[in-house]
Amino acid sequence: MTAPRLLHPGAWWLWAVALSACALRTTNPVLLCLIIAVSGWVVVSRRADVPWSRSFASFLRLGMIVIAVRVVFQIFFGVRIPGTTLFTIPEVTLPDWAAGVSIGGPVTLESLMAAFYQGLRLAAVLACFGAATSLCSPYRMLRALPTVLYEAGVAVTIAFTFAPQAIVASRQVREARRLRGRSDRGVRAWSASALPVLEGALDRAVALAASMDSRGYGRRGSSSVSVRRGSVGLVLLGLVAIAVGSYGLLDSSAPALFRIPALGLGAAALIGALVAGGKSTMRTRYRPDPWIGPEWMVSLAGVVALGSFVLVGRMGDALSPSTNPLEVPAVPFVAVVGLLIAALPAWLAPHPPTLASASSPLAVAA
Amino acid sequence: MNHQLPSIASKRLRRTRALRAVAVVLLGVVVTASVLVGLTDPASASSCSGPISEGEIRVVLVVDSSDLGGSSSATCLVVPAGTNGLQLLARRGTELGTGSPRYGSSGLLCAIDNLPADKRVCGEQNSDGFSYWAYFFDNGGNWAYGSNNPFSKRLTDGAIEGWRFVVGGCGCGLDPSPRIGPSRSLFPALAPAPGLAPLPEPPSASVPIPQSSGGANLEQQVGAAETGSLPVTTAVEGVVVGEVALASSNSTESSAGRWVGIAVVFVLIGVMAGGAWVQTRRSR
Repeated sequence: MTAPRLLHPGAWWLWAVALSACALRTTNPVLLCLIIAVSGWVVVSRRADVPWSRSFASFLRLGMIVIAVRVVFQIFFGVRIPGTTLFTIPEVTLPDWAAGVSIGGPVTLESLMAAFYQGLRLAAVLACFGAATSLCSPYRMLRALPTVLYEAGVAVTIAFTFAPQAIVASRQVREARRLRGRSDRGVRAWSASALPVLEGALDRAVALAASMDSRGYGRRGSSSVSVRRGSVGLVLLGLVAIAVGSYGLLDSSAPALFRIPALGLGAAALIGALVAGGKSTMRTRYRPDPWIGPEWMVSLAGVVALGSFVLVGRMGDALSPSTNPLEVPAVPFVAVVGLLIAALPAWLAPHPPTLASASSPLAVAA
Repeated sequence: MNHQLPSIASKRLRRTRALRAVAVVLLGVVVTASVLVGLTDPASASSCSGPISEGEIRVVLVVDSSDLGGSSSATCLVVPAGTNGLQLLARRGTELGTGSPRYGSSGLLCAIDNLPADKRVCGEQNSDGFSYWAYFFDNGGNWAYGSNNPFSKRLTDGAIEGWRFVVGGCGCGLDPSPRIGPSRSLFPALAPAPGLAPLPEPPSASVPIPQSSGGANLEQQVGAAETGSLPVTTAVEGVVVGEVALASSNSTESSAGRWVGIAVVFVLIGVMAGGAWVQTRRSR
């Protein structure tokens, strides 16, 4: 067993993104439950003792809310398709120009199950995101970014840290309420604490941005204006192309141009920006995170799971069980094995350092 | 950070909460399982050639799956008044034993009579255009492209509805109509054919009817199809015209094997959840 250390955040994010891509490829409830279980198991096994490592439960709760909202919307506004009617709610007759919209009517078991499957898929994606948030420090993620990406990276980091910061803030606000002898449960407490929580999280994100600025993030260095503009433009182009390409990869109905070509264009633009911008800026890094064996194994575990899902998708229709007519979802063996491989980081990744073993708490947090 | 409530109370609280969560999950699994197991389709007998009782209507449903290797068929059905287009389709599947139509999660009709058989396919768009089940209704002896939701369409006595699988269509009123035309002769001759007088307009007939050029096109195609050599034969009871492709509608795969797989996966999930709970408790 290797010495306790924090895994490279890029490895955790790669693993989580691959796992969430698995979730987006399927509506099979059995596989989605297994994805949530795998991510939860890995989080519990390898999270450090830091404030944001407790955010996984909040993401699970958010997922339950998503499922509930999806099902409720289906009950009231869903498309009415025949099936086993469970109950009927009053139907609103709409004028002809709104013939595509239906409000009320018979609620069928098939439509509810379809809504549940879709909500569960989103909940699984949220669980993967929550796993990445709990497993790695947002500050380390920013440190690992290449020089040219700092400007975009600051924005991305603030976006990524907002959720964990909000969770830390909400815990503090609830604690404060409890100390004042007020209830910290129920709708009223929740609504009263919503504003301070949002405010606190935004404050923290801004403070993070300020501290990063004071440490030289996003500084121009001595490069000329034209080079700087060129590299920033390339970064923007590359990020947009990669966003389009990853959307195309995840959505199987997207045109072929939006998949590999867009990803390739984005990667080429980013590499160009790296080459152009990396020459001019000199930056040293204090104690860089290594990318060695465990990092490779963790990211490979995620990629293998994604590969198993792609394979199962090619072989048959087990990934999208029919809800109308309702059928018992099949359990594809290859996909289950792939997900179990994705659970291996619970053993492959090194243990995170505990507060007792680290020289100072800052070494864990920063 | 540490706000320790009295430890025994909090431990008990935690245990109750965990037990409650487990109970909710178990309940969910049991309800889902029982729901999936207890699915049965109620079937009722009715004859289109005999007299019909009060509150019932006779309608003809034309399904054309020739482009999928199936055939054209017309089925006369006796259904309760107020039945909509989708209920009619489901009823046809029950009566003919071809299984119920398959819908995507968006509510789009994917398959009739289990065609297309590949369950991943649901209304595809490629470079040729749209491949989908197009919906038509009888408009004075011609097919009119149904651009509204079949669910919101209440059928009247003597109505004729049609579905055709269109390959490479435009998704508009120019798409080809079913090869069997909406003629009165589709109703069995034993009973007086309903609606000999000018057909009453269906209640939701205020949908945009295809423009004149499209209409002419449709008419031509219907005419060509009718003169062609199509297997339009009156079956014994006059219930089914043409032949219905009895594709492998029911999955032959036993669901018992699937339940075993699901049980195994949920045991795995239970082990992981239990282990996670134990680890969390130990670390506190």
